[in-house]
Amino acid sequence: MSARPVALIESADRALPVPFRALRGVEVVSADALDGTAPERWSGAIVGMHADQRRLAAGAGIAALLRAGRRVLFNGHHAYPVLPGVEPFRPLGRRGGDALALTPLRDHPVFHGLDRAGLARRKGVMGFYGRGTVPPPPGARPVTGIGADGRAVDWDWEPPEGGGVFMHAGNDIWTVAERADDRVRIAGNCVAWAAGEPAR
Amino acid sequence: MMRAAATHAGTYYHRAALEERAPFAGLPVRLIDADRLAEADLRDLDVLLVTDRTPAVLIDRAAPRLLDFARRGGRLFVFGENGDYAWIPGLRWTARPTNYWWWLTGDDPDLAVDAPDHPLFAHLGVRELTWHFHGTFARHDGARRLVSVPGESGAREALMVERPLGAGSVVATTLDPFYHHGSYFMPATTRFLDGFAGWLAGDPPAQAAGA
Repeated sequence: MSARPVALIESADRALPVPFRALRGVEVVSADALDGTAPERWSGAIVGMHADQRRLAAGAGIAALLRAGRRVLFNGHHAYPVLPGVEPFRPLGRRGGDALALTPLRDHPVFHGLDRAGLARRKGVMGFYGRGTVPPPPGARPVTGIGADGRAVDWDWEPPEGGGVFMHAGNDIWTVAERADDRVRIAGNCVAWAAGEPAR
Repeated sequence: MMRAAATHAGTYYHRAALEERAPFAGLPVRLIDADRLAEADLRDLDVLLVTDRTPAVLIDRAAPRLLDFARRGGRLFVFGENGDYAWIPGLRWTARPTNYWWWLTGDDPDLAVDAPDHPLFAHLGVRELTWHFHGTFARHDGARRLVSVPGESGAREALMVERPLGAGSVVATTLDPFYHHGSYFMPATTRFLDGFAGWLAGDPPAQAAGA
Protein backbone atom coordinates (compact mmCIF):
# COMPACT_ATOMS: atom_id res chain seq x y z
CA MET A 1 0.00 0.00 0.00
CA SER A 2 1.13 3.54 -0.65
CA ALA A 3 2.83 5.40 2.21
CA ARG A 4 0.35 8.20 1.71
CA PRO A 5 -3.00 7.74 3.42
CA VAL A 6 -6.37 7.52 1.77
CA ALA A 7 -8.59 10.49 2.67
CA LEU A 8 -11.88 9.38 4.20
CA ILE A 9 -14.14 12.39 3.79
CA GLU A 10 -16.76 12.61 6.53
CA SER A 11 -18.78 15.45 8.07
CA ALA A 12 -17.18 18.37 9.88
CA ASP A 13 -17.25 16.21 13.04
CA ARG A 14 -14.62 13.95 11.40
CA ALA A 15 -15.74 10.87 13.31
CA LEU A 16 -13.89 7.78 12.12
CA PRO A 17 -16.47 5.07 11.37
CA VAL A 18 -16.07 1.98 13.57
CA PRO A 19 -15.03 -0.48 10.80
CA PHE A 20 -12.00 1.71 10.01
CA ARG A 21 -10.69 2.00 13.55
CA ALA A 22 -8.21 -0.85 13.34
CA LEU A 23 -7.14 -0.06 9.78
CA ARG A 24 -3.97 1.69 8.77
CA GLY A 25 -3.46 4.00 5.85
CA VAL A 26 -6.62 6.08 6.22
CA GLU A 27 -7.00 9.69 7.41
CA VAL A 28 -10.46 11.01 8.27
CA VAL A 29 -10.98 14.56 7.05
CA SER A 30 -13.88 16.90 6.32
CA ALA A 31 -14.62 18.42 2.93
CA ASP A 32 -12.78 21.65 3.70
CA ALA A 33 -9.50 19.70 3.77
CA LEU A 34 -9.80 19.41 0.00
CA ASP A 35 -10.46 23.12 -0.60
CA GLY A 36 -6.93 24.01 -1.51
CA THR A 37 -4.79 21.02 -0.70
CA ALA A 38 -2.63 19.54 -3.38
CA PRO A 39 -3.64 15.96 -4.22
CA GLU A 40 -0.19 14.57 -3.42
CA ARG A 41 -1.18 14.48 0.26
CA TRP A 42 -3.38 11.40 -0.32
CA SER A 43 -3.16 8.24 -2.37
CA GLY A 44 -6.90 8.34 -3.03
CA ALA A 45 -10.21 9.27 -1.41
CA ILE A 46 -13.34 7.72 0.01
CA VAL A 47 -16.34 10.05 0.11
CA GLY A 48 -18.66 9.08 2.98
CA MET A 49 -22.41 9.59 2.83
CA HIS A 50 -22.30 12.33 5.49
CA ALA A 51 -19.73 14.42 3.62
CA ASP A 52 -20.48 18.04 2.73
CA GLN A 53 -20.96 17.46 -1.00
CA ARG A 54 -21.78 21.12 -1.59
CA ARG A 55 -18.31 22.09 -0.40
CA LEU A 56 -16.62 19.25 -2.30
CA ALA A 57 -18.36 20.37 -5.49
CA ALA A 58 -17.38 23.99 -4.94
CA GLY A 59 -13.74 23.06 -4.43
CA ALA A 60 -11.44 21.45 -6.90
CA GLY A 61 -9.96 18.72 -4.71
CA ILE A 62 -11.80 15.69 -6.08
CA ALA A 63 -11.22 16.69 -9.71
CA ALA A 64 -7.54 17.34 -8.90
CA LEU A 65 -7.19 13.89 -7.35
CA LEU A 66 -8.66 12.28 -10.45
CA ARG A 67 -6.42 14.30 -12.77
CA ALA A 68 -3.47 13.10 -10.71
CA GLY A 69 -4.54 9.52 -11.43
CA ARG A 70 -6.00 8.78 -7.98
CA ARG A 71 -9.09 6.76 -7.22
CA VAL A 72 -12.25 8.08 -5.58
CA LEU A 73 -14.77 5.74 -3.95
CA PHE A 74 -18.07 7.56 -3.58
CA ASN A 75 -20.85 6.63 -1.12
CA GLY A 76 -24.26 8.25 -0.96
CA HIS A 77 -26.55 10.03 -3.36
CA HIS A 78 -24.66 12.21 -5.83
CA ALA A 79 -26.52 15.45 -5.14
CA TYR A 80 -23.98 18.09 -6.15
CA PRO A 81 -21.48 17.90 -9.04
CA VAL A 82 -18.72 16.38 -6.92
CA LEU A 83 -17.67 13.99 -9.69
CA PRO A 84 -17.20 15.72 -13.05
CA GLY A 85 -19.46 14.27 -15.73
CA VAL A 86 -21.63 12.28 -13.30
CA GLU A 87 -25.39 12.86 -13.10
CA PRO A 88 -27.44 13.31 -9.92
CA PHE A 89 -28.97 10.42 -7.97
CA ARG A 90 -32.39 9.18 -9.06
CA PRO A 91 -34.58 7.40 -6.50
CA LEU A 92 -36.48 4.31 -7.59
CA GLY A 93 -40.11 5.22 -7.43
CA ARG A 94 -41.58 1.79 -6.79
CA ARG A 95 -41.42 0.06 -3.44
CA GLY A 96 -42.35 -3.29 -2.02
CA GLY A 97 -41.62 -6.80 -3.18
CA ASP A 98 -38.33 -7.00 -5.02
CA ALA A 99 -38.28 -3.33 -6.00
CA LEU A 100 -34.95 -2.89 -4.23
CA ALA A 101 -33.49 -6.36 -4.92
CA LEU A 102 -29.82 -6.46 -5.87
CA THR A 103 -28.19 -8.24 -8.81
CA PRO A 104 -24.40 -8.70 -8.84
CA LEU A 105 -23.29 -7.86 -12.37
CA ARG A 106 -19.50 -7.92 -12.14
CA ASP A 107 -16.81 -8.78 -9.59
CA HIS A 108 -15.05 -5.90 -7.92
CA PRO A 109 -12.22 -5.71 -5.35
CA VAL A 110 -14.52 -3.82 -2.95
CA PHE A 111 -16.39 -7.12 -2.48
CA HIS A 112 -13.31 -9.33 -2.12
CA GLY A 113 -14.03 -12.07 0.42
CA LEU A 114 -17.71 -11.15 0.80
CA ASP A 115 -20.88 -13.07 0.05
CA ARG A 116 -22.65 -10.40 -2.00
CA ALA A 117 -25.99 -12.19 -1.77
CA GLY A 118 -25.83 -11.56 1.96
CA LEU A 119 -25.57 -7.79 1.49
CA ALA A 120 -29.01 -7.31 -0.05
CA ARG A 121 -30.95 -7.42 3.19
CA ARG A 122 -30.45 -6.65 6.84
CA LYS A 123 -32.80 -8.49 9.20
CA GLY A 124 -34.62 -9.55 6.05
CA VAL A 125 -35.27 -5.95 4.99
CA MET A 126 -34.15 -4.46 1.69
CA GLY A 127 -33.28 -0.81 1.27
CA PHE A 128 -30.25 -0.32 3.46
CA TYR A 129 -27.96 -1.02 0.54
CA GLY A 130 -29.51 1.50 -1.79
CA ARG A 131 -32.77 3.03 -2.91
CA GLY A 132 -31.96 4.34 -6.35
CA THR A 133 -29.30 4.83 -8.96
CA VAL A 134 -26.73 7.25 -10.24
CA PRO A 135 -26.74 6.71 -14.01
CA PRO A 136 -23.37 5.28 -15.10
CA PRO A 137 -21.45 7.67 -17.37
CA PRO A 138 -20.44 6.42 -20.82
CA GLY A 139 -17.77 3.77 -20.45
CA ALA A 140 -18.62 2.92 -16.83
CA ARG A 141 -19.01 -0.76 -15.93
CA PRO A 142 -22.10 -1.65 -13.87
CA VAL A 143 -21.12 -3.69 -10.80
CA THR A 144 -24.44 -4.14 -8.97
CA GLY A 145 -27.95 -3.69 -10.30
CA ILE A 146 -30.96 -2.66 -8.23
CA GLY A 147 -34.65 -3.23 -8.81
CA ALA A 148 -36.48 -5.16 -11.49
CA ASP A 149 -34.70 -3.29 -14.28
CA GLY A 150 -31.27 -3.89 -12.77
CA ARG A 151 -30.22 -0.24 -12.93
CA ALA A 152 -26.72 0.32 -11.59
CA VAL A 153 -26.47 1.15 -7.90
CA ASP A 154 -22.71 0.42 -8.06
CA TRP A 155 -20.41 1.07 -10.98
CA ASP A 156 -16.74 1.40 -11.77
CA TRP A 157 -15.36 4.01 -14.16
CA GLU A 158 -12.16 5.42 -15.52
CA PRO A 159 -12.99 9.09 -16.18
CA PRO A 160 -11.47 10.74 -19.24
CA GLU A 161 -9.50 13.15 -17.03
CA GLY A 162 -7.78 10.25 -15.29
CA GLY A 163 -7.96 8.17 -12.13
CA GLY A 164 -10.81 5.88 -11.20
CA VAL A 165 -14.24 6.12 -9.63
CA PHE A 166 -16.25 3.51 -7.77
CA MET A 167 -19.81 4.68 -7.22
CA HIS A 168 -21.95 3.18 -4.48
CA ALA A 169 -25.22 5.13 -4.66
CA GLY A 170 -26.50 4.11 -1.24
CA ASN A 171 -25.67 3.99 2.45
CA ASP A 172 -21.95 3.83 3.28
CA ILE A 173 -20.95 0.49 1.81
CA TRP A 174 -19.17 -0.59 5.01
CA THR A 175 -22.52 -0.43 6.84
CA VAL A 176 -24.53 -2.77 4.64
CA ALA A 177 -23.23 -6.08 6.02
CA GLU A 178 -24.94 -7.76 8.96
CA ARG A 179 -21.73 -8.98 10.61
CA ALA A 180 -19.14 -6.67 12.15
CA ASP A 181 -16.21 -8.61 10.67
CA ASP A 182 -17.70 -8.25 7.20
CA ARG A 183 -18.05 -4.52 7.74
CA VAL A 184 -14.36 -4.33 8.64
CA ARG A 185 -13.51 -6.40 5.57
CA ILE A 186 -15.44 -4.04 3.29
CA ALA A 187 -13.76 -1.01 4.89
CA GLY A 188 -10.36 -2.60 4.31
CA ASN A 189 -11.26 -3.38 0.70
CA CYS A 190 -12.35 0.24 0.20
CA VAL A 191 -9.06 1.60 1.55
CA ALA A 192 -7.03 -0.84 -0.54
CA TRP A 193 -8.93 -0.03 -3.72
CA ALA A 194 -8.83 3.74 -3.17
CA ALA A 195 -5.08 3.52 -2.45
CA GLY A 196 -4.65 2.11 -5.92
CA GLU A 197 -3.91 -1.53 -5.19
CA PRO A 198 -4.42 -3.69 -8.25
CA ALA A 199 -7.41 -6.01 -8.30
CA ARG A 200 -6.79 -9.26 -6.45
CA MET B 1 -46.32 31.30 7.71
CA MET B 2 -43.72 31.79 10.36
CA ARG B 3 -40.42 33.30 9.34
CA ALA B 4 -38.24 30.24 9.48
CA ALA B 5 -34.74 29.07 8.68
CA ALA B 6 -33.08 25.65 8.71
CA THR B 7 -29.49 24.52 8.84
CA HIS B 8 -28.11 22.78 5.73
CA ALA B 9 -24.85 20.87 6.07
CA GLY B 10 -24.29 20.33 2.34
CA THR B 11 -25.11 16.62 2.47
CA TYR B 12 -27.25 14.82 -0.07
CA TYR B 13 -30.01 14.36 2.48
CA HIS B 14 -30.12 17.99 3.52
CA ARG B 15 -30.38 18.91 -0.15
CA ALA B 16 -33.15 16.40 -0.82
CA ALA B 17 -35.14 17.15 2.34
CA LEU B 18 -34.83 20.94 2.25
CA GLU B 19 -34.52 21.81 -1.44
CA GLU B 20 -35.88 19.00 -3.59
CA ARG B 21 -38.70 17.16 -1.82
CA ALA B 22 -42.04 18.27 -0.49
CA PRO B 23 -42.95 19.71 1.92
CA PHE B 24 -39.89 21.92 2.50
CA ALA B 25 -39.08 22.40 -1.18
CA GLY B 26 -42.28 24.43 -1.44
CA LEU B 27 -41.86 26.48 1.70
CA PRO B 28 -40.20 29.90 2.06
CA VAL B 29 -37.67 28.61 4.59
CA ARG B 30 -34.28 30.29 4.56
CA LEU B 31 -31.41 27.81 4.41
CA ILE B 32 -28.33 28.54 6.50
CA ASP B 33 -25.03 26.89 5.61
CA ALA B 34 -24.11 24.93 8.73
CA ASP B 35 -20.51 26.06 8.53
CA ARG B 36 -21.68 29.69 8.66
CA LEU B 37 -24.21 29.17 11.45
CA ALA B 38 -22.04 30.89 14.05
CA GLU B 39 -22.11 34.10 11.98
CA ALA B 40 -25.69 33.89 10.68
CA ASP B 41 -28.03 36.84 11.12
CA LEU B 42 -31.04 35.37 12.95
CA ARG B 43 -32.79 38.61 13.81
CA ASP B 44 -35.57 38.36 11.22
CA LEU B 45 -36.66 34.83 12.22
CA ASP B 46 -39.47 33.43 14.32
CA VAL B 47 -38.24 29.83 14.13
CA LEU B 48 -34.82 28.28 13.60
CA LEU B 49 -34.46 24.57 12.85
CA VAL B 50 -31.15 22.94 13.65
CA THR B 51 -31.85 19.97 11.40
CA ASP B 52 -30.66 16.49 12.34
CA ARG B 53 -27.07 15.58 11.50
CA THR B 54 -25.85 19.13 11.53
CA PRO B 55 -22.23 18.57 12.65
CA ALA B 56 -21.91 18.99 16.41
CA VAL B 57 -18.67 20.93 16.07
CA LEU B 58 -20.53 23.59 14.07
CA ILE B 59 -23.46 23.65 16.52
CA ASP B 60 -21.10 24.06 19.48
CA ARG B 61 -19.39 26.97 17.75
CA ALA B 62 -22.78 28.62 17.17
CA ALA B 63 -24.30 27.76 20.56
CA PRO B 64 -24.08 31.27 22.11
CA ARG B 65 -25.83 32.74 19.08
CA LEU B 66 -28.49 30.01 19.09
CA LEU B 67 -29.30 30.50 22.77
CA ASP B 68 -29.37 34.26 22.29
CA PHE B 69 -31.89 33.75 19.47
CA ALA B 70 -34.18 31.89 21.89
CA ARG B 71 -33.71 34.39 24.72
CA ARG B 72 -34.77 37.19 22.39
CA GLY B 73 -38.06 35.43 21.68
CA GLY B 74 -37.18 32.93 18.96
CA ARG B 75 -38.33 29.32 18.85
CA LEU B 76 -35.31 27.13 18.43
CA PHE B 77 -35.75 23.48 17.35
CA VAL B 78 -32.86 21.07 17.74
CA PHE B 79 -33.32 17.69 16.07
CA GLY B 80 -31.54 14.35 16.62
CA GLU B 81 -28.02 13.05 16.03
CA ASN B 82 -26.65 16.49 16.74
CA GLY B 83 -24.10 15.75 19.44
CA ASP B 84 -24.88 15.62 23.14
CA TYR B 85 -27.09 18.72 23.53
CA ALA B 86 -24.90 19.74 26.49
CA TRP B 87 -25.02 23.36 25.34
CA ILE B 88 -28.77 23.54 26.09
CA PRO B 89 -29.29 24.47 29.76
CA GLY B 90 -30.72 21.67 31.88
CA LEU B 91 -30.63 18.93 29.24
CA ARG B 92 -28.77 15.67 29.65
CA TRP B 93 -28.93 13.30 26.72
CA THR B 94 -28.44 9.57 27.25
CA ALA B 95 -27.64 7.13 24.47
CA ARG B 96 -29.92 4.14 24.23
CA PRO B 97 -29.50 1.17 21.91
CA THR B 98 -31.30 2.05 18.71
CA ASN B 99 -33.90 -0.54 17.73
CA TYR B 100 -34.22 -0.06 13.99
CA TRP B 101 -36.30 -3.21 13.83
CA TRP B 102 -39.18 -2.53 16.22
CA TRP B 103 -41.68 -2.94 13.42
CA LEU B 104 -40.33 -6.42 12.63
CA THR B 105 -40.04 -7.70 16.17
CA GLY B 106 -43.35 -6.32 17.36
CA ASP B 107 -41.64 -4.09 19.94
CA ASP B 108 -43.97 -1.12 19.76
CA PRO B 109 -41.96 1.92 20.93
CA ASP B 110 -45.10 2.88 22.90
CA LEU B 111 -44.47 6.52 22.21
CA ALA B 112 -46.83 9.01 23.83
CA VAL B 113 -47.64 12.67 23.35
CA ASP B 114 -47.47 14.12 26.87
CA ALA B 115 -48.49 17.67 26.01
CA PRO B 116 -51.48 17.35 23.68
CA ASP B 117 -52.30 21.02 24.26
CA HIS B 118 -49.06 22.09 22.57
CA PRO B 119 -49.81 23.55 19.11
CA LEU B 120 -47.36 21.17 17.42
CA PHE B 121 -49.59 18.22 18.23
CA ALA B 122 -52.47 19.59 16.30
CA HIS B 123 -50.29 18.54 13.35
CA LEU B 124 -48.28 15.63 14.75
CA GLY B 125 -49.70 12.48 16.29
CA VAL B 126 -48.16 9.20 17.37
CA ARG B 127 -48.22 7.93 13.79
CA GLU B 128 -46.10 10.88 12.63
CA LEU B 129 -43.69 10.56 15.55
CA THR B 130 -43.00 6.84 15.57
CA TRP B 131 -39.83 5.43 14.07
CA HIS B 132 -36.60 4.44 15.83
CA PHE B 133 -34.91 6.97 18.09
CA HIS B 134 -31.36 7.78 19.11
CA GLY B 135 -31.41 8.12 22.87
CA THR B 136 -33.54 10.09 25.32
CA PHE B 137 -33.24 13.04 27.65
CA ALA B 138 -32.70 11.38 31.01
CA ARG B 139 -32.75 14.82 32.65
CA HIS B 140 -34.43 17.94 31.42
CA ASP B 141 -34.39 20.42 34.24
CA GLY B 142 -36.72 23.32 33.65
CA ALA B 143 -38.12 21.74 30.51
CA ARG B 144 -41.56 20.34 29.78
CA ARG B 145 -41.77 16.82 28.42
CA LEU B 146 -43.64 16.84 25.11
CA VAL B 147 -43.13 13.26 23.87
CA SER B 148 -41.92 10.20 25.76
CA VAL B 149 -41.12 6.50 25.48
CA PRO B 150 -40.79 3.85 28.19
CA GLY B 151 -37.39 3.99 29.87
CA GLU B 152 -35.28 0.98 30.73
CA SER B 153 -36.22 1.39 34.40
CA GLY B 154 -39.91 1.50 33.59
CA ALA B 155 -40.32 5.24 34.05
CA ARG B 156 -41.02 7.18 30.89
CA GLU B 157 -38.17 9.12 29.32
CA ALA B 158 -38.36 12.21 27.15
CA LEU B 159 -37.96 12.06 23.40
CA MET B 160 -38.94 15.69 22.91
CA VAL B 161 -38.86 18.52 25.43
CA GLU B 162 -39.49 22.24 25.43
CA ARG B 163 -37.46 24.51 27.65
CA PRO B 164 -38.52 28.13 28.04
CA LEU B 165 -35.54 30.43 27.67
CA GLY B 166 -35.86 34.18 28.11
CA ALA B 167 -38.65 35.38 25.85
CA GLY B 168 -38.52 32.23 23.68
CA SER B 169 -37.90 28.53 23.94
CA VAL B 170 -35.85 25.56 22.82
CA VAL B 171 -37.56 22.39 21.61
CA ALA B 172 -35.10 19.50 21.54
CA THR B 173 -35.79 16.02 20.20
CA THR B 174 -33.73 12.95 19.46
CA LEU B 175 -35.80 12.24 16.34
CA ASP B 176 -34.01 12.55 12.97
CA PRO B 177 -36.62 13.16 10.25
CA PHE B 178 -34.60 15.22 7.77
CA TYR B 179 -31.93 12.55 7.30
CA HIS B 180 -34.40 9.75 6.61
CA HIS B 181 -36.81 11.78 4.47
CA GLY B 182 -33.83 13.08 2.48
CA SER B 183 -32.62 9.52 2.06
CA TYR B 184 -35.96 8.30 0.67
CA PHE B 185 -36.19 5.95 3.62
CA MET B 186 -38.80 5.58 6.39
CA PRO B 187 -42.20 6.95 5.43
CA ALA B 188 -42.99 8.02 9.01
CA THR B 189 -40.35 10.72 8.71
CA THR B 190 -42.11 12.12 5.65
CA ARG B 191 -45.37 12.19 7.61
CA PHE B 192 -43.56 13.99 10.44
CA LEU B 193 -42.21 16.69 8.13
CA ASP B 194 -45.59 17.09 6.42
CA GLY B 195 -47.15 17.75 9.82
CA PHE B 196 -44.32 19.94 11.02
CA ALA B 197 -44.46 22.02 7.84
CA GLY B 198 -48.19 22.42 8.38
CA TRP B 199 -47.48 23.88 11.82
CA LEU B 200 -44.83 26.22 10.37
CA ALA B 201 -47.17 27.35 7.63
CA GLY B 202 -50.05 27.95 10.04
CA ASP B 203 -52.28 25.43 8.30
CA PRO B 204 -55.50 24.36 9.98
CA PRO B 205 -54.93 21.51 12.44
CA ALA B 206 -54.77 18.18 10.65
CA GLN B 207 -55.59 15.86 13.50
CA ALA B 208 -55.78 15.44 17.23
CA ALA B 209 -52.76 14.42 19.25
CA GLY B 210 -52.40 10.73 19.74
CA ALA B 211 -54.18 9.86 16.51
